[in-house]
Amino acid sequence: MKKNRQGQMKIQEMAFVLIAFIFLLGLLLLFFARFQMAQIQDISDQIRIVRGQNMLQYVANLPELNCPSSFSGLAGRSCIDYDKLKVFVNNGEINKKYERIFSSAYLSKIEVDIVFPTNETFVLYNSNTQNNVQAYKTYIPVCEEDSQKGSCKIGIVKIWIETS
Amino acid sequence: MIRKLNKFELKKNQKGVVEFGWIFSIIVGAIILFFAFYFVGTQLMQKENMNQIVSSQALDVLYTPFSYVGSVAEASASVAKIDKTSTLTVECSGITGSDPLGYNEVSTYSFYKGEKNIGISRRAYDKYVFAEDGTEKYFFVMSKPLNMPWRIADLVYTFPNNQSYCFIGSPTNIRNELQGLENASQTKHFFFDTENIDSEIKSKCINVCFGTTPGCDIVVNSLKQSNYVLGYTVKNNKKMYYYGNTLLYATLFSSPELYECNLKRLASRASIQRDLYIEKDRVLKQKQCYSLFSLGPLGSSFDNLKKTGLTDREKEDIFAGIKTNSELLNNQNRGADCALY
Repeated sequence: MKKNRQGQMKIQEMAFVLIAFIFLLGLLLLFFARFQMAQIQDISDQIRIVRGQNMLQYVANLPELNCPSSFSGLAGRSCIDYDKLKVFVNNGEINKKYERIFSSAYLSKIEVDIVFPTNETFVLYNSNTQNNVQAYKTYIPVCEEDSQKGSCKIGIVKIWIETS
Repeated sequence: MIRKLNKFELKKNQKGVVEFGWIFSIIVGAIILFFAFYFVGTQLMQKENMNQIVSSQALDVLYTPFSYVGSVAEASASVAKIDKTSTLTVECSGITGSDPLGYNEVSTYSFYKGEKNIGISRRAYDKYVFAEDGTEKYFFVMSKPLNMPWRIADLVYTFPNNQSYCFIGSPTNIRNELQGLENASQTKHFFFDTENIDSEIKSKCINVCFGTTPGCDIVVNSLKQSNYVLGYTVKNNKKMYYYGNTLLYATLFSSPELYECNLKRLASRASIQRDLYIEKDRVLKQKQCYSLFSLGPLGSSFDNLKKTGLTDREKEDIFAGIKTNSELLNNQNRGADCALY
């Protein structure tokens, strides 16, 4: 009877060790998975930020919005042509043809705001998505041709990129 | 008798404990092995995914929509590295009613034990990639804006990094530009002094001849005494017409089919931009900016270029028209009160 009990004790011991072992292994894996997830999240954040900043540059330098050569004093820097911007926003037929380009880049909204000396807002594209979005913005000169020398205003290019 | 029976039972019990111990060992072993294989498997999968992400980052220049090199530089070049030796293919989807700008689909694939592994494949709506299928780990990538006469888009050319081009009788401006790009990217792909190059390079070189010379892989012909500003390239017995160095490079590094498709996409984009400039011209006139811009004839040339089934004669006329009207518009733009582009 005593030996029988000893055997049962051994079985219980082993079962307990087994459960503890699996529990520890699970914890270890959970910790490792969390660590890996954090690393992947970090990389994806970095890529997303770089991509967002690049996308801002790309949008600001679209040939359809770029300043004419007469503003060559700004060479090497992005500059938006005010007249082209107005035409692009107001002409639905032209605007519509670029929708596929914007949506393929996961852009949900593109906006150019003029903040000085006037206040104007131009929405170039808006997909009205319900997905999560991340906003990026940069300051940019918005220049306009006239019969004198032409003038520039301070503008902000804002883009919203879908994150999921 | 009773004692003997108990002993027998005890032995039986002990045997049972030993067997149970074995079973536990097997279970624990199986769990350990399962987790070990699972862990290694997921790690390898993750590594594979990470490599693909790194590759896709390296080929970002081909995938990412929009282009901006043209507004800050005349041209640029770099070397893209992918995680393993792969074949890079570029397909082109032409313009349609629902898709007025078309797209390029850039894909990579490799072979492992006879099986085709698809790497990355992505559609780029704002990219105009000119390439021929090539297998390598490193790819040379060049970009140059297409000004006809305004900046239409930036073109991207790519070929395997181990590929070389030997230019025979090329104009000085082409030589200077290509050598400048090579120096910037610290690579050597273009050879101009073909008589003094290594015999090994010479045997691998793709010979590009300006004017008809025997033993050429690609022949560039000039039209209307333009010193190769306007002309056509013969590659794989197919003619590709061009105007300007940007399109000339596209004919050299691209397959004829891809060139024709991308050319139509570019013509479609230029056509849309023409509409935008017509509107801008109207706005400028309202601001007392008096100038004359002949956008109509150039726009017609772009519209004609979009058509399918054009004959060589028609293509030649279209490109000649683009050249004449681009030069005219450039002069008008320079002399205008307010510049159009």
